[in-house]
Amino acid sequence: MVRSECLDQLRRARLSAGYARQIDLAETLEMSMGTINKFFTGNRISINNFQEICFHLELNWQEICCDFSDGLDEPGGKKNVNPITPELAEPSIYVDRPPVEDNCLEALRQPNALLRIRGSRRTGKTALVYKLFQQLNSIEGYRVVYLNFNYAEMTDFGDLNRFFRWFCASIGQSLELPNLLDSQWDEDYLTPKLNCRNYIKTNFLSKNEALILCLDEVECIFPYPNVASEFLGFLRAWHEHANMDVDGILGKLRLIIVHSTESYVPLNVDESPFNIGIPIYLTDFTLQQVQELSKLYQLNLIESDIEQLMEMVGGHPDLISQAFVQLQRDRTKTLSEILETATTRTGIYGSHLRHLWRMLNKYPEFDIALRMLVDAEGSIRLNSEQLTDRLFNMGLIHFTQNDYIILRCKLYQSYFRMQLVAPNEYREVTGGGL
Amino acid sequence: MKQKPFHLGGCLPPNALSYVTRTADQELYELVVQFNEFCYVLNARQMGKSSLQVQLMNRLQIEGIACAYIDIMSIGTEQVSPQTWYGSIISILVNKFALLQQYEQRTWRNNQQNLTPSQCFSDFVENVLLVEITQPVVIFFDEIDNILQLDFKEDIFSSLRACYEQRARNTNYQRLTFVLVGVATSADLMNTQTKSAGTTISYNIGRLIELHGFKFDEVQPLIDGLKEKADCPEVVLRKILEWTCGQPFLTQKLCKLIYEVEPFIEQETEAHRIEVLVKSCVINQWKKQDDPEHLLTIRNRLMKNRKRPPKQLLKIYQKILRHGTIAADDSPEQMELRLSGLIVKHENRLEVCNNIYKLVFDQEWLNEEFSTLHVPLVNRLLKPLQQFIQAPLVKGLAVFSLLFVGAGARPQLPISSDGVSAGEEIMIPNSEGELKGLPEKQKGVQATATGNLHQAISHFEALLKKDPTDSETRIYLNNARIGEARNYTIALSVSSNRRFRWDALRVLQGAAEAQDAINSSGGINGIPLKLAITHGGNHNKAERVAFSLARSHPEVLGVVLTGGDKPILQSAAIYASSQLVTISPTNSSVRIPNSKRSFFRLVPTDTEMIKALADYMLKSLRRKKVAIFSESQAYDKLEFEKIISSAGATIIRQFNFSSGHFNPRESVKQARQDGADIFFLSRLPKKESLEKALQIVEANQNQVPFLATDLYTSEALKINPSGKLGLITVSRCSLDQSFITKLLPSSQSQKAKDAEKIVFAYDALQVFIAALKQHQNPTRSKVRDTISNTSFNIIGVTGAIKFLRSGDRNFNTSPIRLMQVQTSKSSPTGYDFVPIQ
Repeated sequence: MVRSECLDQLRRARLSAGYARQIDLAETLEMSMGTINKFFTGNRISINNFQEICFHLELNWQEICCDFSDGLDEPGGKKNVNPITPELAEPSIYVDRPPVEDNCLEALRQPNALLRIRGSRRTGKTALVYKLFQQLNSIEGYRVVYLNFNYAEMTDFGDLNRFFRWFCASIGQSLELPNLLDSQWDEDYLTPKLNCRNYIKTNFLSKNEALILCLDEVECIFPYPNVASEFLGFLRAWHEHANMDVDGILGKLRLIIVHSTESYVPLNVDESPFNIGIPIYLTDFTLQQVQELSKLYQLNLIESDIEQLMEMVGGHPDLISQAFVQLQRDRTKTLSEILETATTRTGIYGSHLRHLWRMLNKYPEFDIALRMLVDAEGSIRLNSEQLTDRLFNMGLIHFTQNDYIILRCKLYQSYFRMQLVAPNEYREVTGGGL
Repeated sequence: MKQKPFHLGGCLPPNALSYVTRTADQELYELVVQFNEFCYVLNARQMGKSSLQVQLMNRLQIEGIACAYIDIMSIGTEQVSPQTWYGSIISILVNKFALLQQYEQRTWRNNQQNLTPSQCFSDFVENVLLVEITQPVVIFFDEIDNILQLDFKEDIFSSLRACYEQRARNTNYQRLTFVLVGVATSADLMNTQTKSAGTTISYNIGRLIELHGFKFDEVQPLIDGLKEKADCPEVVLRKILEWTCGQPFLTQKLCKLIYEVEPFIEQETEAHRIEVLVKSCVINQWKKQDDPEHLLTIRNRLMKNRKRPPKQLLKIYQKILRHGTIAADDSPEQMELRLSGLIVKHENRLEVCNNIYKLVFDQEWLNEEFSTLHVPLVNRLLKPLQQFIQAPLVKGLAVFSLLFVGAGARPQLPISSDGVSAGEEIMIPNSEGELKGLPEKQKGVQATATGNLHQAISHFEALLKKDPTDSETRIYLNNARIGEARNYTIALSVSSNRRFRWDALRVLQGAAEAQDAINSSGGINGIPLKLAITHGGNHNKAERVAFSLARSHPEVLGVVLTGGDKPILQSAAIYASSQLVTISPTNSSVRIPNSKRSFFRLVPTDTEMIKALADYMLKSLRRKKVAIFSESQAYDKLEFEKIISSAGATIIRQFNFSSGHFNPRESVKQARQDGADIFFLSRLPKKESLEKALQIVEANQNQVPFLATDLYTSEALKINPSGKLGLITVSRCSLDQSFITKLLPSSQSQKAKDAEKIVFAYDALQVFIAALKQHQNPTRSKVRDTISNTSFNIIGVTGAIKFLRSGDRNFNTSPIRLMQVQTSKSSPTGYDFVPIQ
């Protein structure tokens, strides 16, 4: 673990390496948010992760490491350590995207509701949840719980009992209820799934009061097939059979499942809840919404400015917001100046573009598809639906009609063209030594 | 609030207006109530099975019959033991019938350890449930397909059957009836042991209820629901049924669409309006409109079938589609097709369930699905590309040149269907880094991919005459010779990177040697060994390969995992959770939590090697003034420091040789001036470091002893004599010399490190072979249990192999050997590594 006097140094190193948020670093390193958070708060993590983070931030890990022998131990051990439950952060600025908000609210007021909010990363999924919670909790008085799976430890995913206990403990903690796991969890005579069902039913639900539970970043569970299939099956069974519950208690639980569609994971559809409930897709901003957003950022942009921006990035919520944040922060720069370098690695969208490029490079089959897309003048059709779906899930393409697709915005086209013509270090395959 | 008449997805609430009562409802009711028969409802998804149970339970409860509903899916299939499974069933019943007090009085729950879980269940049923509840009791078990995944499924079915057989002995049992519902075939419920004896379990004591689609005379509730939306709702329903054949989900979906979205349907327009609706809202772009999922569920059930190969299912379906109907023979493939819901049996013939399915899953769809099976993705992509190039409106030529200039400029990445090849693809790059081989190899691989194994064998044999060292081809040849016969498959995961080509070839050589040996001596209990090659050694593919092996390759029973820390870290958890044992033949550094006991390594860990070196330095050489050369990332250095400092040695100086300013000669000189009497060189995590490391050794000029963990390599023998003398390093095993001579007769100089990779790969397979030998029907979990048992041990060519609980090898029996460089007449360089006694 990190020496306490070094914590500030770490934060500075993170910022100077270009990671404004811890989660961005977590994504780049493909580590859990919990691990990264522990690192930056001086908690103990595994030596491998420790070294990798330090290496990435160009820190000398031995200098900031507290006690070497401590760092060698694997984390965990005790079962009942209270999990970290992050607060649902208030989005700095939110623009309504009707009718999405009202549709969600209407659905969540019904018993046994299940919403699936999906989209590529940073399209405003979590912000939408915040908005919904604000209405449902502050105004309508529903109990709400927000649970981010990125905060689970890797070890929590290794064992079903442990995972379900983490799940229950996290909900309980959010509701500020006492942790009764040790007395109620019957590992000897009940399966993990049933324990979890009983615990939720007994402790969190009642006839009179609904509980709205949001599970964010559910994709974090995908890499653990056994836990994933049981947990997702658990949600599915709950939802499908809540109607059979005579006293209606099961239906008091309403679920919002939020997941990013970028990671490519095969799931057993019979078990996953991703084909039930109501799917919510976050659409791109319209011109009007972008204008509204610019006002919220207190920017004096004229219509042609906004058109210029949307010509480059379309209605991509994250890219639009990034530009506005930049303009707000640095009043000396104009939009044109920002857009001039936008397609380069060092420009405003550098980290977003590099992230996409890294993802694409994991799967060589994207290569040809990308070349076709970049050079097409109109829309094209790929023979592989699987590939098309994956590109769509990564937020890279729009459908024009039927199966015909087009790159989502000009920014992508310019950047990918540049990347494909000039191979850079990311194209290098770096394997491990034997 | 006004209740919406139509409901889609999940089960209908008990008071749903749109519930359609079928003949099965009455049939099930009568069998249960009047004859208290055990009943089975086995059918495809979304046929209204759960809704049927809800309705029946409602009806029975009104008549004073005690009902309990148990959703087996909510009990789970992972980490489920007989004790927790039966415990869960009992607990659900206890809660349902409020029997807690009586139940807790049963002493076995607390102290009778000698009852098996199923005995506890019988005891509960007989002495608690049937005593306390005096009415008839009906217990519904839904989603029973989840039972089929459990190891002890037969025990469960016999427990249920026992309840029936007890009726003669104890009349209380006559009040107890079970209804079993799920997506399963009757064959699934048969006991494999009793089946051979001619009887079937539980199945023959119960009655199977056939569940069909809605018939016109049953759909009055739906007609009522559409009263406000059409002049003649009867005609509308008739037209709907013509499309759906009464398939419950599709029928409800169309009704719901008409009720919620469609404008009013006037008389005489029904046929046309329904046709347009079906085509625009269901069939056209079906994948995007399939919500809640229905058609995709069917598609996935065929294409991701774990029991039968998708190709066979598609072939049968194609026959039915072409001929309209074929004779039913109840083969497992036909049963799987019927369970998907796509096909129904009608008067002993199979036909497509309805017209919507016929239009969605048509010949064009079939062609597309066929093409995704076994065809490398690149071919699928090139097809549109060719069309694309011919299209006049695009800059075809520009794309073409971009594509191929790009391809030629750098090593082409492998493009494969799922990155696992038992002969269908070339996996090892040639010396240019391309995944290509000589013409014979290419032809052999193509022949394998198209199933033409005779041809493949002759191509592979021809190639091996030209190049007998191509171990990949040796493996593919062995695999082709096995053909379609039963076999055990172990996967080898290597890197596709050209830089590690040589390493990969060594691993394959060891593996091929092991495969040759076992298959030519009659196989593993008569079953030959097949080897599949993957690119799981690339860190950017390790995760994907692991998923693919874990989920799509059930035939793979174990994995030999080569490569550095990264690929292992990325994939170990995935393998562990799918119960696949992974053995790393050569990684000494990676540390992973091994709670599932599925990761094993054959070489000593870095820590163990450092301990051996430190020990030698302190006890035999008696030197205590150390200069350390390390890379900034080397953690073994710290362990070394810790060990020697606690033994009273001092560290005179430290050098970071990965820094840009580092000068080997100057540094060595400085260290000696400061009085260092021994040097230590830390581990070399990167290949690039080797050269620098050798420069340091050379600069030493044999002035002081030089300890290094990572320099047991032939390169070390090539530097100046005065440099290499004095080098002391670690051999990871005591090699069986005769074996090495057999493997590497010509190239003595390579033998050190190269031989290591070969023999450890060979031994990794010996471990698997030994574990497979112990079982008649080995499974992943049986293999894991065998190898992780601490009493497991074999004698390999690298010495005795036993594993510690951590998954590391137990070196108590064959200690680590230190080697030093000495002159040797047999070596071409004049020097060789000689063990220190």
